[in-house]
Amino acid sequence: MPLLGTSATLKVGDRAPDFELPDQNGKVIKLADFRGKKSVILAFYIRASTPG
Amino acid sequence: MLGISLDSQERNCKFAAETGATFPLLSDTEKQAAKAYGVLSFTRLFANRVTFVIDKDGIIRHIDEGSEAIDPSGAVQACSLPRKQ
Repeated sequence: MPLLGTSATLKVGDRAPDFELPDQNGKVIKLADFRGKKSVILAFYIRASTPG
Repeated sequence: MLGISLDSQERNCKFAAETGATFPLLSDTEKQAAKAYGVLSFTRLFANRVTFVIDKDGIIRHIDEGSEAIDPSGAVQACSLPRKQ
């Protein structure tokens, strides 16, 4: 599947950048927490509270 | 499964309650993760949803963008592969 216009961004096979962010309950979640334990589906909803 | 939005924690809490989300919904108000993953450039060209599948070793195994990212079946399929080991 070609990803047009995304040559400067991540691609399959790249290392996923780590992050550390609070969830809806204030609990801080780090991507590194899952390393070696679980695979992760990361879904970006850029504007979750707006339609579309 | 992790969801990330640029909304505040309060709005994410409301969104999670409204949608019955059972997964952590992370608040990226500083756009830290959105920038690291190049998601903001996606949104100029596509819809505002992008899904990454990351394996246990922290390697990206699958990327869905735009309307495909609404349907997680492709991502779930890709995610289930390493579990069979």
